Amino acid sequence: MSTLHIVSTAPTAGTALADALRVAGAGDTLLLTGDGVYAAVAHAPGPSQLLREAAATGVQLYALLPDIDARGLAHRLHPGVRLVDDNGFVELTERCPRTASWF
Amino acid sequence: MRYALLVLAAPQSSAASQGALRFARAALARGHTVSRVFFYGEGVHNATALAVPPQDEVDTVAQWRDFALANGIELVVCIAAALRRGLLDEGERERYERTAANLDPAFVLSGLGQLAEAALESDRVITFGG
Repeated sequence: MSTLHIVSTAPTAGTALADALRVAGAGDTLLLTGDGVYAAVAHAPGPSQLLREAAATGVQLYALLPDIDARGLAHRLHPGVRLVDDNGFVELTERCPRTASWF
Repeated sequence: MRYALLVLAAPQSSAASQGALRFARAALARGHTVSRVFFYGEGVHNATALAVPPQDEVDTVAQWRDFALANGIELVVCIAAALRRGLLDEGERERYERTAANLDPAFVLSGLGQLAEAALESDRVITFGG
């Protein structure tokens, strides 16, 4: 049963991203929201490494577009991260029977 | 599908409450039901009728109120979390002999059982915190 992991705090503010990816496995989905989207910035060394490893183990990576836009990050994203709007967020929760929020 | 939302953050401390509101609107737009939104911990600050946000900022409390009234959605506030943060309805004001009540009438105070019930009766429970 696949899980949607929602990370909503910045990678510099705590260990939410690392905690989520420690338990996320193949077939799971990660969605970055709120300040969590800062992890999706390309060249952020720590988060980029975590996201690369997650993608390699089969975790699908997404970031919430309105939160990316609110922070002006659209032009500098990690290439493995796909963008979804609020409608797409709901769609991800339809697809994943379980959700876990990390903050 | 039936959705229940859990909001754990105050409107002025992070984007979580606004995110929950946007999610709820999007869920309705996709044909889902949002049966209940439960406010717990610092999230109870979303239910105060006395907050006066600056004019150039979003009034999250008003947005929750309008959204709930327009769509018939229950906004439930954890009573224990509310009381200790000074958020009272008229009944609690009277019981504890305080000088004022400040719960917005679009919200109701209730127990954690309401969250458990929402989790049982919903297909999805989505938590917004941090």
